[in-house]
Amino acid sequence: MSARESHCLFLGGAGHRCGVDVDDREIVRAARDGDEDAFADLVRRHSGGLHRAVARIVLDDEEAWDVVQMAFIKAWQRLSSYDPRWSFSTWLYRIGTNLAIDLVRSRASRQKAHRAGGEHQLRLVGGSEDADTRLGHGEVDGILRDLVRFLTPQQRTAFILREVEDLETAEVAEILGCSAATVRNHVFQARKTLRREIQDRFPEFVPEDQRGRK
Amino acid sequence: MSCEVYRELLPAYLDDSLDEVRRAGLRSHLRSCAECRAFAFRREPTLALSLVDRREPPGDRVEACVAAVVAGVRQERLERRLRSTRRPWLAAAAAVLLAVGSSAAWWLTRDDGAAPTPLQAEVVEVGSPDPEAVEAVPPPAEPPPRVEVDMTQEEVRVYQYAIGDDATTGAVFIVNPAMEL
Repeated sequence: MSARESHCLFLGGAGHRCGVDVDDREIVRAARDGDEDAFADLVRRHSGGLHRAVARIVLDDEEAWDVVQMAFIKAWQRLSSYDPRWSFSTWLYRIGTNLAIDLVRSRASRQKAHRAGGEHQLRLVGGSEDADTRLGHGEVDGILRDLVRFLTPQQRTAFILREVEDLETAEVAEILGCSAATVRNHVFQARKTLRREIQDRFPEFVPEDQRGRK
Repeated sequence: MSCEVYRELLPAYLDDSLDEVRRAGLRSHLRSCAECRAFAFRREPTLALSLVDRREPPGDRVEACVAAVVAGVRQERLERRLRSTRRPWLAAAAAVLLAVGSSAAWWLTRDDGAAPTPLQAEVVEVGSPDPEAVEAVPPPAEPPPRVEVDMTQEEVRVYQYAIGDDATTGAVFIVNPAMEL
């Protein structure tokens, strides 16, 4: 399923809207009237995608579920302030990623993440398979988790939402509360840092003629 | 579009200057074409991270999340309802009334520095039993005491009664005579 199918976020014009989005608005309206089952449907629809994005920001699956739950409860509390001209998922992602960024900034998990990164490096260096094969085996997911810790929370969030979750740049800008140009800059800087770390830590992902070049 | 055309789109993709439709087409092609994928990774190794699988979490984990959120929502609703039933103005009004009542009581009972009047208490032993009644109903071994103390200066009466035959159990009433019927 593409991001367009799974999220269909965003205000935009009528061309940007899709069935999922329109349904979301109807469900949100019911939830606003106090329908808990309708709100539970929203949780079913969006918790998976939000968890995937948040887990890649906070680098911990269980903490990511906590963040997702908090995001939904906050969304419930603020449901009366939700503007239906905007996609519910964009609004929800904004709440969720802000919580995730706050968590990354506040916790002292650098040492833990560092240990996890070291283990991955030992396992991957010397592997005989190329990056393409590893992509299919899900190992790249672990490498992504190891490397995003070198990004600032804003770069990390922008890269995950734009490049991995494939949201539109304008959507990411809305979620992060910044301009599209700022999002492009965050992604550019993130790519630069990730490229350098890949060359240092996972040289087998880099063509031989490019190894050692920064 | 041919592989060649897709490969030519790569620089625009990396600059984020590609429109969303062609961008989605390129990503989809890279997922399905191993040769173009290898070409793209040689050009930009970080593209391997961009194309990482987006797996859905297990259904039971999602349902656990739903249950936790619904429980949180119910808790929040309950707290909101409790907040709405609390009336802080009522507590404030009660506090004001208490303060006014206390002040008034103090003002009414103040002695203006006058010398205290000695208490005069009058103890009255009440009633001997009716002789006829005594015949009809045998009296208890020790008749229950009934004591009335009238503290006239303090405008207080104290009544002490025994209950039934049990002389050790009694009841004491302190009554303001002004309030007696």
